[in-house]
Amino acid sequence: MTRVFKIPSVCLMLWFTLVLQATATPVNVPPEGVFAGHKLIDDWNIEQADTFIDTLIKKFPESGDVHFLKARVEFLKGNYEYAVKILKQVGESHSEVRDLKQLVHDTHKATKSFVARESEHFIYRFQQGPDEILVHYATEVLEKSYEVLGKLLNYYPEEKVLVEFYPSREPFSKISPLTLQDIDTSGTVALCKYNRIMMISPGSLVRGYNWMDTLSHEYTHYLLTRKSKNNLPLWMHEGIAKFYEARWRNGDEYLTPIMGTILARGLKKDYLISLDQMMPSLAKLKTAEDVQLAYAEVSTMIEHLTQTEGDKIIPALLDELANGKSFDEALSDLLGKSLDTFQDEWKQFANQKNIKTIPGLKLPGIQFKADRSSEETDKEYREVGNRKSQDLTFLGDILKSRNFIKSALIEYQRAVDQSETFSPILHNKLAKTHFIIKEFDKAEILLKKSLGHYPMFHTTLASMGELYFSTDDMKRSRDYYERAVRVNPFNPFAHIRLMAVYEKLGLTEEKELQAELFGYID
Amino acid sequence: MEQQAHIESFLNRVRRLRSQTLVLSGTYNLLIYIIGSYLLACLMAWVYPPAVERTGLAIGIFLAGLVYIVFNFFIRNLFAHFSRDDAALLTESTYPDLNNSLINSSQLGRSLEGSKQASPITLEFIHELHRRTAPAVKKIDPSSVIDRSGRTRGRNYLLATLSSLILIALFIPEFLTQGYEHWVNPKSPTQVSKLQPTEPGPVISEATDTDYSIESLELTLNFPSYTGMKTESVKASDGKIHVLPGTEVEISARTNAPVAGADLVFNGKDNFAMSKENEVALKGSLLVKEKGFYQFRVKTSQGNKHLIAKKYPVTLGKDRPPSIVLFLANPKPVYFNTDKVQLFYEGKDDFGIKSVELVVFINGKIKRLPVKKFKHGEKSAKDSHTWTLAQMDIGPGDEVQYYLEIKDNDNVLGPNTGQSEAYSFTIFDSAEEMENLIAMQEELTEKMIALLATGLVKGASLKDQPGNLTGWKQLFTTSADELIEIVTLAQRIHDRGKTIDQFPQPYLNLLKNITSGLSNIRKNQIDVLNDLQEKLFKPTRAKLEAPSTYTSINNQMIGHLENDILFLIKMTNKQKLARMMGLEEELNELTQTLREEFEKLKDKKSPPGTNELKNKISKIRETLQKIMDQLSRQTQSTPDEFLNPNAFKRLNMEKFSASLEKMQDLVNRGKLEEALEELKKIAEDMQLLANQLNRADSEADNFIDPEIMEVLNNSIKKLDQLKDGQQKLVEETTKINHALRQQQAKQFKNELNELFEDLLRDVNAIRELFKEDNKYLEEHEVMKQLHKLIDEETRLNRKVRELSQATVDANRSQEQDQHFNKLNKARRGQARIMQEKDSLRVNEIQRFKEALPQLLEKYDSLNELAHLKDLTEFANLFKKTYPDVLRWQNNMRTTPNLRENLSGKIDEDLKQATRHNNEIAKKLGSMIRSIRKNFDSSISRKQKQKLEQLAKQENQMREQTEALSQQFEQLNKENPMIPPELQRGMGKTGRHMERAEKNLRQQNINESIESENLALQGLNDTRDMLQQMKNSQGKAGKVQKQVSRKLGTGSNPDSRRGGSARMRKEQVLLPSEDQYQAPKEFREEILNAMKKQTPKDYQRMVMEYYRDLVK
Repeated sequence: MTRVFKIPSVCLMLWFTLVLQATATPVNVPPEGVFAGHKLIDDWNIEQADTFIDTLIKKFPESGDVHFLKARVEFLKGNYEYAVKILKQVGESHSEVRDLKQLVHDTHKATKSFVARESEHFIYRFQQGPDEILVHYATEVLEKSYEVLGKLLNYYPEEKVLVEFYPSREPFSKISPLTLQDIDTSGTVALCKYNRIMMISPGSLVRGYNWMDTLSHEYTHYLLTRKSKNNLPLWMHEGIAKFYEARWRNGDEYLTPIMGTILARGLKKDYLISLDQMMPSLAKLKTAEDVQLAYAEVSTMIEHLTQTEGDKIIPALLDELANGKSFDEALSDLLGKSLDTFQDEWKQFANQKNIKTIPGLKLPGIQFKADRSSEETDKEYREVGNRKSQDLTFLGDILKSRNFIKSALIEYQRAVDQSETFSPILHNKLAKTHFIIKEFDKAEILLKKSLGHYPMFHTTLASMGELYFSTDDMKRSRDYYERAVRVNPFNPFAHIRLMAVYEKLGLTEEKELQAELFGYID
Repeated sequence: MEQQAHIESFLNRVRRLRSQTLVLSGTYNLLIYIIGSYLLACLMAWVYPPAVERTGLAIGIFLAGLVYIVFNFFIRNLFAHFSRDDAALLTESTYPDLNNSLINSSQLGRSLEGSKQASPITLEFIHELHRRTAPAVKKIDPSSVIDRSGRTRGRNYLLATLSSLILIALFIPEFLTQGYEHWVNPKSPTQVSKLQPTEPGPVISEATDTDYSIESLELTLNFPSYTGMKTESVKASDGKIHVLPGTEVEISARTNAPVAGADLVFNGKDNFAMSKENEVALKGSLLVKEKGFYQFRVKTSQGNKHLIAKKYPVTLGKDRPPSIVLFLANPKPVYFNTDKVQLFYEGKDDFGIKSVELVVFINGKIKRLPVKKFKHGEKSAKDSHTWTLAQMDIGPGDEVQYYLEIKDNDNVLGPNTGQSEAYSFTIFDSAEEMENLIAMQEELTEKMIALLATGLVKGASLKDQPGNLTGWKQLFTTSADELIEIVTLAQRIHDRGKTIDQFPQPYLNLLKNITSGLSNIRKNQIDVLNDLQEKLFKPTRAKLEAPSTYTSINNQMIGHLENDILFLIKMTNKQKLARMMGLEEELNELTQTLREEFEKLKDKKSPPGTNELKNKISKIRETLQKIMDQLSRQTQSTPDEFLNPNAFKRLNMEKFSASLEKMQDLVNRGKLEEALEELKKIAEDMQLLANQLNRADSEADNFIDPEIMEVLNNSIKKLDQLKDGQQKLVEETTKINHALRQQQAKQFKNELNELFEDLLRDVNAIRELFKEDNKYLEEHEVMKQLHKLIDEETRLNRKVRELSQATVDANRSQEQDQHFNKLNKARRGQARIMQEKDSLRVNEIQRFKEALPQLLEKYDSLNELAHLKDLTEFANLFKKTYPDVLRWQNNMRTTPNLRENLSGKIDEDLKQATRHNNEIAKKLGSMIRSIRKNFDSSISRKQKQKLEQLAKQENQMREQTEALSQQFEQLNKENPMIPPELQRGMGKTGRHMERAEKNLRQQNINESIESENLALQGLNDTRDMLQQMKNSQGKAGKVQKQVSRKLGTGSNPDSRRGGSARMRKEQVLLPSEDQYQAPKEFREEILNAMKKQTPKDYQRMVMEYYRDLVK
């Protein structure tokens, strides 16, 4: 979803050279050597950096600079324990060294109990337990992304890419520059940083999230960093990643209805996030709405770019950047116009795009579980519109629990009428109540409407699956349940239903696979 | 030499040990002998009293034994020489294996010290002997040589003797004291003479020349000191003695012929010498302790003794046991454990009270609490005692029974005791009550939900059928029926909730709002039903359309129910959560203690005190069970409203039970480490529960949302402004009034003096009239007859109540029949009395007589006010007083068949009083009118302008007040936790302001000030109410936290317990008349207490409590 923009390499390397010269043991390591080492690491050119530093170590086995470089490389390779060991030999007189030590230590601590699985081009690490289910789906998305994005960007990583799933947001916040508040505000649940992809398990969220697209999004960041040698500006990083995030499943929709609505509103009111404001990270923007607006802006910029210049423009730009050209220079050379002109054109493009505004749409918000081990249902009333509609929804729930179905329907309908925003939760409640009295048509209309607004809302997908299951339309039920488990693979009911659907459809292999997956979370 | 020294040392130790053993044995025997002798002596005095006369012999025998023991154990043994050789021989006798080597060594050892030549045995031999003997001796324990069996036996005997002594001292102490007394003062055990007993002389049975007889007798009775009675002399007595035990009777007798001496013979066996005053006058004394008779035995001049045949009876009076009556100012079936029970008592005894104690049974255990001790032999006592329950070890739910016990000061035969009637009560269990209330709230919620469902569905369908009047009728009929049940239940919860602390004011407000709001809606529904009824019977009904009012009334109900349900569920959840949190905290503490216990045991490495641990584990199990029960109950009943049941899937009692059993087993096997691990696992699971509870607590909504809270805050500010404005307005008006009054006071000084002189004359005339009436009625014969009949009626009423109760309590039908017969008889008596009372024809006059003191009191006050020359107060009081006189006058005239002579007199007096009243009214009226006229005319133009300006200000404030009132009304609709009193209070304040404004415009300054003050008061009250509500908002949310510390334990101090404010307002119940007649001063106290404000539904609550108890 986002990444922290790299610190200008030159400054950083200069600093490292000066500082580490001062902190190093009195061994004369040529500054150029140290500089080159850091440069390679910053470019995520890990393989070359590793070879280079190994030669330095042979020459200067007593050098603190070289050991520090070695520790950085090992950390980026995911060898945290080894990195900790090496860093013990390096003095702590400078805060940057201390910071790295702290980061490596925290990462090592958070991942100590992780186990690893591998696919053809990826290594997955996770805490043993239910999160193992993610490997199956992650392999699907990432291997497809490897092919699709590799073709688009003309880049295929040689080494296996490391992907880590963190069981909850707490360890995730410790191993990344994001605080818990950043995570809650921006809804950031994944990062591509330190030469790896890190993600919070959807199992720690109440309704899961669109984690498969997110994974592909983060992989795009990985490719962009590697290919551009970490020279691509943040806004374009995010724009390309967003624009391509659904390509792995042959999807070309990148702008969700809510993002579209926010962008349209922003364009209308002339409230936009400037490219400068997006620094140092989109996750650091003030509100979740701003984050969505920024994504909508940059992704539509990429759409505009690819529409006018074709898909090849992206790898070409990345090559230019990797060759050392500045971004403005490269852009100007390739497009024949400045960034400002490009932005002006984009505004025109965006205004002409006629993006649909759906009134009452609201960001669904990310709801983390308080305790992953407990099977808790979410207290979701706060997400249902205004106070009055919350109360009416609650009353509807109460009436339904006492089997006063018709009266519950009335209350839910009143809640919908009272609500100023569109609530997928409320629509699901209303639809499910229609189920009970076999009013499937009404339920279908409601759910489809809801899905149109919130296409990745797990509850709606599962409800749709259940609707078709109840009406014996197994194929459609399968489609929706499959989509539902992809958003939240931790919903046992969806797995059970899928198994039943596969059985009815005579898909034995799929059923067995589903049973195996269900085994991870049962 | 070393060996020799060792042998000698051994023998010395044997000698020393022997001496110690002998001394110890001797001491034991000596003590046994002394104690045994004493016990034997007492026994002798008890079973064979004449033995006490052989004191010398007894002492002789005792001393002989003593000397023997001392000689045998101390002198003989200690002073007899016991040499080393003797010690050696003693050792040899115990250890024959020594083969005389020890004695030889001892004896030959001396040779080493003497001349070497003198000894026939070589030194080498002796050394060799020593060398061989010494090792054998080393192995011997000197104490084993001494025979200690005698010492052990002696010790055992001594212990047995001492035990006997202690037991006797504990259970029959008089055996020891009286035994001693008898030996020290050898007298008859039942009769004591101050004179020395005489030896019984030869009684002459044969006829003598003189026939002796007693000519006259005089008795002087010296009563026991505790009675406090004075000495009594009975001149020319017939000799019969009837006194209290312990009385000393001095007897003076005169014989018919000269005698040489005389004795008193009691019961034909005990003799007491009499002193001789002269030839025929004798004097002696008896200490009476038992009944019987006494005789005189005279001694002739020849020395013969002659027993006079006549016997004089001695009978014993009785010291009656004391009696005590307990009065309760406020008997209640249930008390808080911090309450104070006020006890009034009246005790009596014929000779004096020693003490009063409160005897309490708590769960079968008895406790005695001293109430009062009497030092001066008071014969009666009236006092009160405050019994502080907090000082007792009692907990919620405990049954307490109590009564007062009184003891008299009889020190001759020991104190007599008396008891009051026993009462009982239960200690209030707020946790249990809370549990019940929660269950009731859930029932209420369910009823409301059901009604809401009906209203929603039927209302929606009827909305589309405008002509379906029958449908509307059915809907409103059902709703009205269900609403009455809901309202009644809400009212019950409200009333019971008031009594416990977990129900803060906002909760009560909610219930009150539910009650009042739904009652109003029901009323509207009934009106609509009547309307519908009419329309349905009209022939044109098919054309009628359902008016929108039907929908509106149904919607009104739906809206109200929705709001009520939401808040009621919130409230119930908070209460449930509090209970859960309380239990969870309790469990946490228990687990913590157990863990500490394990840690301690682990450190000490000592075997665990399994019982203690077992108890703790059991306690944990109990608390866990409670939590599980609560969880399953609460989550099952209302899955959507309370805690998420899925969150607790991991927690189940079976699993906990297994863990606890395992833990117990591990403890028993001493595997504390593993037990601790098991405990940690349980604690981890409990942590999950704690997290969920904390989360639920933090997520729980506040009852008053931030928007409303802001409105409340603004309202407080607004009210403060209004208050300041009103205060200034009052001050301004008062200032004008003061200036005018001062001006008037100067002008009317003389007129007022004259007026009050006149008024005083009239008032006093009326007072005299009424005083005379009172006296007349008091002394009238017919009225006296009526009083007697009233007394009789009271007695009969009491009897009827007693009999009614007895009839109810009777177990057998036969008994019941008897009681019924008596009851019928008593009721006939009541009817007869009623008839007799009616026949006197003075009932109304009696009522007038009863009312007279109050009437007089009012005229006394008027008299005082006239003296004080306070015109306003006088006029106010007079306004309230004169209608009373008119009322009585009317009553006398309209009551038929009154006794003419009495009613005529009273009627005439009342007429006169009315005439005087009219005079007073006229004078007062004309004075007030002229003052008013003067007042109005003396208002200056400037003052008028000022008043007009003030009226405008008042108008502005009234408008603001009305706006606030509307705002509060709206808030109340939105949030039923906002009390309707806010809106009412503001409405009332607005009306006061309106009146003040009107009076200001009309320049009625006095009336205006009154209204202004009332308005100010209203503003103050509303502001206080708002502030209180704002404060309690936080409290309502946190109240459960307190409960958690207190729940089940009552540890949370109930602010209303012990509780002054509530207690002061509680109704005071008089003790029933059938128990006793309370003494006057107590009655006054009780009556005063009754005057205090009483919650009107207290009695009903008590009744409900009882009804619930028997359910």
